Amino acid sequence: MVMRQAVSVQANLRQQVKPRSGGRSQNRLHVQKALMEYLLLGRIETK
Amino acid sequence: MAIKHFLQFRDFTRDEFEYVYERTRWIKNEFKSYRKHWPLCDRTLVMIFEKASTRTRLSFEAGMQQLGGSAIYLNTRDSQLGRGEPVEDAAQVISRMSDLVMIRTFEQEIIERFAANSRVPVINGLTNEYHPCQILADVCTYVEHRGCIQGKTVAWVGDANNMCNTWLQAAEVLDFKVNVSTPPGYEIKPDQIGVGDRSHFEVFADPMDACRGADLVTTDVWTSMGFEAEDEARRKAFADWCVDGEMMRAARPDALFMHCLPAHRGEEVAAEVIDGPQSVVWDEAENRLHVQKALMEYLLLGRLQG
Repeated sequence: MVMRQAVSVQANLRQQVKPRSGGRSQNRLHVQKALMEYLLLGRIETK
Repeated sequence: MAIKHFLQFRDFTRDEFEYVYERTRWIKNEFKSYRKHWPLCDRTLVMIFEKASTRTRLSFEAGMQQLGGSAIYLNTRDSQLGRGEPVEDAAQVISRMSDLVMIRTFEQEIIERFAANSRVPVINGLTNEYHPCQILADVCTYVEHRGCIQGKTVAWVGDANNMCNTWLQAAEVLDFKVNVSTPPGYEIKPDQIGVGDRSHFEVFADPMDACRGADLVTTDVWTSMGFEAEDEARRKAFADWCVDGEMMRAARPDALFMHCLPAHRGEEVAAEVIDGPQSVVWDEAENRLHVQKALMEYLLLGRLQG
């Protein structure tokens, strides 16, 4: 259940990311922060 | 706003150094008083080491933590600039995941290329040509003990290495003089480091003459990192370039002695000097921590008050 949701998040992001290698490598940082937060804390309302 | 780097000593103006030294005093005092100063909270420093280090890693890592940020250590297994991946590509990626980068590497050209492709400030943690963070700390230590360095004389005894090169740049920026004495065959190359104003340095064949009347006497190991194969030849060539009591007596009575460490007693410096009353080597080592905190704060946040 949790894994399926994470895959879904990644898929949504993949559609949004522009195909630039610099931006892609930078997004490793940001998306992994979101992933770790989600795995540990679940859904948090974005302010 | 253009990104500011600290790749050579001459990258800053005298006015900027005065600000950084003033800020160092404040940061050091706050830290010694156990008051938190966390301007770099959530910020990340990446430290790339392609050569061994003790003081540089310790001072940057501790310094970043004391400013509220975190530091990541990469060595040659993790990142080989220009070998595993083009320097330019490494700079793009690393600078997109961090806020500040410190690099210790071989040729100055490597760090210059990295900085040209970096989105964040880059600090030179030592290259074959320069060691600006060490001279930043050395001048800070001189100012702390004796006041303004402008118009003073620094005697450099020994190898014309990255420390010597950086002293020569510092003399131009901060308006003091360097008396240089190196063994034959190991002379300075001022043109290669862009030091053209001969009024800020003088070359002496005899190290005693270089020390005469100096306000500060300083030296470094005879064999710097990367020159280990020349060790035996250097031991012979540098035998008379050991800072001893006689040289310190030729300097001013209130002259200081500095060494960036590690030191080899009985080689480039006599034990009576480095362990003597004129030596400020431990203050010098400690000041790497404080002055680099001020440097990192300045590169990321510009001028602050209080």
